[in-house]
Amino acid sequence: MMTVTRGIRTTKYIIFVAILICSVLPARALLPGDTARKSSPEQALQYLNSIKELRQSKWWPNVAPDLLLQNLKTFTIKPFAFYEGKTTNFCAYSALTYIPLTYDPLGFARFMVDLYRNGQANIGKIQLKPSKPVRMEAGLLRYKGSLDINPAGQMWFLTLADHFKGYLNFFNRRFQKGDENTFWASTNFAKFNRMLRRLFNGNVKARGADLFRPAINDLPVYLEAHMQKGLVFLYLNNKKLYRKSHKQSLISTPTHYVLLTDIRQLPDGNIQFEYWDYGARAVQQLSPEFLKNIIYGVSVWTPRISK
Amino acid sequence: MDPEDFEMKNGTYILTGILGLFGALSSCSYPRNFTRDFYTQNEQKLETIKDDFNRLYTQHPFSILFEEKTFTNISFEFNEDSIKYIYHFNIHERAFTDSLNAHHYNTQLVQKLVEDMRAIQCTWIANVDYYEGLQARRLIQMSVRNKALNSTLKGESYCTLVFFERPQPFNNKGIFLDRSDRKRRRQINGNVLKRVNDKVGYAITKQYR
Repeated sequence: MMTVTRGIRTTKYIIFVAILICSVLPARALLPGDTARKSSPEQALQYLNSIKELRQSKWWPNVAPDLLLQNLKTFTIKPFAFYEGKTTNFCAYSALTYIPLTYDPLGFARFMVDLYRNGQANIGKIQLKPSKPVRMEAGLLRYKGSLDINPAGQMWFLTLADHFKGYLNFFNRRFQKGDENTFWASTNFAKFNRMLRRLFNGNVKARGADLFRPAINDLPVYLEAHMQKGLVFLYLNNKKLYRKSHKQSLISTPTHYVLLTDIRQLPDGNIQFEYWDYGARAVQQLSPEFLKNIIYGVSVWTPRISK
Repeated sequence: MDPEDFEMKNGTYILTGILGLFGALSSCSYPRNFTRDFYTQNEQKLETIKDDFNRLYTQHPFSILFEEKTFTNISFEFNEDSIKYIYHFNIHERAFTDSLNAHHYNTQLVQKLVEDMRAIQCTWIANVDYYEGLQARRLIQMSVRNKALNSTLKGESYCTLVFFERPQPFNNKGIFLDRSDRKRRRQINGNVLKRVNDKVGYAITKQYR
């Protein structure tokens, strides 16, 4: 009798554990971070360490191979340290780089090494083949903070800015020295979403525009809900987020891209707004009205999960 | 009208026009030796602010920004290991000191620094990384407001002072050069740096950071 009771108990216990596992697994599978990852940082490091000798590229004469490999290893270990540089217009390219560094660090490392070796490489749906002025400039950008010692980052930013064009680049399409700070490198909202679609394997849902704010009733709740589905990029007014002069600007326009990393409502009604830009995560407590006032575009990128 | 009178009147108009234009143009520019004079007059105060900031920053990194012309509201950047907290305070309210205490800053000394900055109308102070070759170095950047830098047409400008840790090379025009590449002129936020002394440079900028 005792044995039968013990047997029933054991069966009940097994069923309970099975139900618990089943209830947890589908929820985990839905998280984009786990199943959608094509490779791991360890695989990327293994690949980079396996490159015993990388010769000086004739395509990128100012990028030293050792420093390139060192940069790529740092990207893999510390994706949040990826930095667009001071006074440049590279913020859009920097924000979206979080995707390959998180979801496919091995693919990104391979792409960068191919680009270095051959002067061209494939990523997502496209082939990137940067022009000569851009290739000559990579490695020479200075007074941009840690981007000075990051020629791999310079290569990537200059290549993207050279390839993707939007209406903001209409009058300045060919790179000349110093253009990293000008309209040559600027990114309008449509161009940003186009880059997301063509470079990475995922779906993009975008709300907003260059001149008009998105008509979203409860923006913080909307953003919080969409963070559960994928990565949320914001296109916002940088002059208001980071004040740089005491002058009140008459025209309000968005000029900056950030990756949203956390958002929540505080008991006093303000919003705890956490985002990633300039090579670090930042937290600000802002009123909902202010937040609504500065945000012009919301792009949600969801990875496509291969069956 | 007598032709001579007409010519004289015309001449007066032209002269008035030229003088007016000259007046308008001179009101757009700032005094040529502003920074050198300003630095000489306030050297001790500026050096004290720089040294105090440097000492406090070494203990616990941060930066301070006065957001408004009234110099009562600040944006204080608490720099922790992997994250920066940018909080906005009225310097007279308790929330400011409470936050300094909560983040383990030396509250009294930070408050003194804020008061010193306010007294000299220093809007922004921060530590900035820069590189000499592959070698990382640091400088202190300070931006100061001054009435002499305001212009009716051009608007407000700021005097950005940069304090290096060691003497910097400069050319015959007094422009700082890059230590690792002396053909390059050193820049801060896209502006060329001119020499105040061997370790201090300046730029007149439209933005304070």
